[in-house]
Amino acid sequence: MYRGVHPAILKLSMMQAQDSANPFHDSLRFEKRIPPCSVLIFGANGDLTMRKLLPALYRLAYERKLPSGFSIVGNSRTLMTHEQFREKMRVSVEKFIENSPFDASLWEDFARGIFYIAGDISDPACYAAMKVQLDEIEKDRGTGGNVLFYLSTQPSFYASVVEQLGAAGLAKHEGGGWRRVVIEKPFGRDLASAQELNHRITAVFSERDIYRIDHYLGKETVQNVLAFRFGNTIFEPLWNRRYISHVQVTAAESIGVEGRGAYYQEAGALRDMIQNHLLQVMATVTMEAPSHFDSDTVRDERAKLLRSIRILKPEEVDLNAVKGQYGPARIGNEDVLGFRQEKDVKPDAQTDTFAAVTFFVDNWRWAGVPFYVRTGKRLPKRVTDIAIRFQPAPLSLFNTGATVPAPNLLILRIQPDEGISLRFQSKDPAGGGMVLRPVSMDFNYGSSFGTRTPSAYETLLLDALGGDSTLYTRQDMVEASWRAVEPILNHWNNTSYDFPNYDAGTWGPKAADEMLERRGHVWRVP
Amino acid sequence: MIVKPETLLKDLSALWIQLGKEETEGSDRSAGVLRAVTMTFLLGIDEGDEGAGEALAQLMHEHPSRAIVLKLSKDDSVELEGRAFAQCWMPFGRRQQICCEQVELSAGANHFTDTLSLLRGLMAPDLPVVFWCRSSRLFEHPAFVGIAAFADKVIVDSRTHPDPLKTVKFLNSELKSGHLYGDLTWTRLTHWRETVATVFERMDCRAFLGDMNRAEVQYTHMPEPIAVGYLSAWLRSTLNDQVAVEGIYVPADVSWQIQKLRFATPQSEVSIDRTDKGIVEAHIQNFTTRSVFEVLDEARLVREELAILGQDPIFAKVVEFASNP
Repeated sequence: MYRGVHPAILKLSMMQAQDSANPFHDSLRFEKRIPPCSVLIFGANGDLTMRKLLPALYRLAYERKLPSGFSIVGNSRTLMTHEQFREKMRVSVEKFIENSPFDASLWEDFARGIFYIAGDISDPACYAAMKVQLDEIEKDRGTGGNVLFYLSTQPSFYASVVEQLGAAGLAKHEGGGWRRVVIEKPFGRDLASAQELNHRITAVFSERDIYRIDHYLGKETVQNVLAFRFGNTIFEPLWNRRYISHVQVTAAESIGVEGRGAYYQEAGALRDMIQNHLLQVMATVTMEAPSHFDSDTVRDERAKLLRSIRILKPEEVDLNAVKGQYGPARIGNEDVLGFRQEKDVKPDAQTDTFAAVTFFVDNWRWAGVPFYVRTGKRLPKRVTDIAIRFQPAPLSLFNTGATVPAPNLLILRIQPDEGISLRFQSKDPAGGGMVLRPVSMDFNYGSSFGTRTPSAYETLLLDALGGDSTLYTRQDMVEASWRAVEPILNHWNNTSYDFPNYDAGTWGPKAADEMLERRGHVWRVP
Repeated sequence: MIVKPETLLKDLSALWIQLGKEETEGSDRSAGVLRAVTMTFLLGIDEGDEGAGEALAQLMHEHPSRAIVLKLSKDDSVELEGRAFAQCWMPFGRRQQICCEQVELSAGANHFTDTLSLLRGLMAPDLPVVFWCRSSRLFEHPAFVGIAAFADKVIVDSRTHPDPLKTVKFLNSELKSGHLYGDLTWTRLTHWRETVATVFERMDCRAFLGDMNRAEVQYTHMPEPIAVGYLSAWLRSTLNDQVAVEGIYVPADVSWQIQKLRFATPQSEVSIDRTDKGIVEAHIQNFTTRSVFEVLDEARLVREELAILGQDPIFAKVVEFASNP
């Protein structure tokens, strides 16, 4: 029999017990501590739940990252029993889980924690049923009353669902358990609607319990931008207007609207991508170093940067923003439809399937540096990257004649082939004399870290369950980014465009090239 | 034949040039060779260790390194030999081949210390050095200390050693001297420990913790495995002295060593049971929950250790307790 304990350890153990900390935790080797809890998903019969949320939660369970007794309650209008819902979720998890085996024995246990409440989210009786179910789960599965509400519904229902949660007494727990709410973008259609939505949600939940999900921020490579900038010393001194000529952010998709024509027709590229994802990425690339790596401090810096984006005057919009829409074309041996020919799209739709904007950040670090941001559908390839183009060498010593040495280029690749490349000049041994040629130094995430990268939803769900909102957007950030794009939206809404203005499978309208040419720049081909 | 570091390094350079040339002259889909090195990885093995190559190949995919394989020949009188080669692979869906360099040095026990002077010149500059000693013979060899001195971290597996407790005592003295060591026998217990931590995250179990007076580690094979000593030491170092921690032998015809952890108060108990190779069940009063224990090959265990290249205070404390059972 083993007995006895070192006095210092005993003291530490007692202190830990008094603090009701978990004495068995090993932060060096175990994942984040998630307290026992439940997730209640609104819109549980939808695509997001089946393709992303459930596979991500199952994967977290597989990796033992979820707490004991973890439970899921699904809600939608479709009538189903608990058992039918479990079966439906099993089928989707098996189908959509990536890079993981499906373990039937684990699923059996995981499924015991899955429940379903059928009901209309506008009906108070539905919330009463949820309360009964959550109370039962708390009693039977020891979840301590902690609940994460995940709104995977149509955005127009966000505010009313949250108000119903408040009215049913579900937004607070008498026993001290936490209640949080996750909402998916879009957070409003414009600044006024974003403020209205926020006003209604914060009447029920406090800001610290609201998690506005932007799955781009959950991507490992976006997080790596922070590690790259603030974990190394060699680039940060160059990270300013003195050394950087301009920055290009590209998020290109090769696909069209893929059956989401009705939604996309109302949203458009500027709202769907730039207002949220790409401005968040841009803020990550340009923000100041936070004093600590905690949720509020990091988000304070992001918010400060977003507030520094210059707001375009109406007469400046045409010079600094380009709206595009793809037309039909033949790509390879396939004839693809133009946007207006897609299902559920009006034949005279004015929707932007391509948007390119020149932003300026009016602060000491970035004054005068253009940030060219573009996104679009039916572009030649699927790629998201950030290209930082440095100033050219002040004097061209080596290449004489027509060739101008290419300036240094740092590329942060978000997807696919995640990694970082640095282009610099090297002497060409075959050239004879001092002839320079650009070469690339590559860091490839996949080859340097062969381990499995968690999906953005795994990362973000784990953070929300653990109470870490660093990678979630805050209301002031949402408002600042709406302020940055609203003059463009207003101008575009009041102007009629001659669409289509680019062929599917090309890099967008000619006007986008001209926007850069005016400043002596060109888009790089990613 | 005389083995010199510069000859081996020259061979490596020639290999890279050749690989690049083959790629350039190859198919038009080729996008060159990516040379990846994140550390120097020293691997100490016995001649005929069949599993070493596979484990190394897996590790190279995840931690591209300059691998230096130190092979202890069966015949003690075999003199030092060295060769350089590259291990390459094409990740699925990519166009670029990734290659890592390997050097193999082999010698019998009588000449093994000759490897030391070569190693100094073969390390990849400016990168960490990790030494995984798979060979218990090499661990006992006088050259071990010299090789370990090159490394930022040394990884052993005490359960494969003839006297595991002696190894744990050695680790204790090394850790106290500030050297970094990892023991795969301890690493194998992460799943168990993480499950215990998860169970005691529940509020009802936190209350239970205050009344706990007994903890048991039930094991299936004799002699008592060193893993049981580690788990018991962890529980002793974590719980207060009101809790008696005991290892209990419960013979069973299974391939695993630890069968069950049981925590008891005078009134009730919480237990974590292994049901088959891949699953454990936690019983918390009337509630049962399952976790997956994935099969942990050595490469996975080494990967966990490679993620910790600094002090591991919990391990150091456990080693201290385990070396004084």
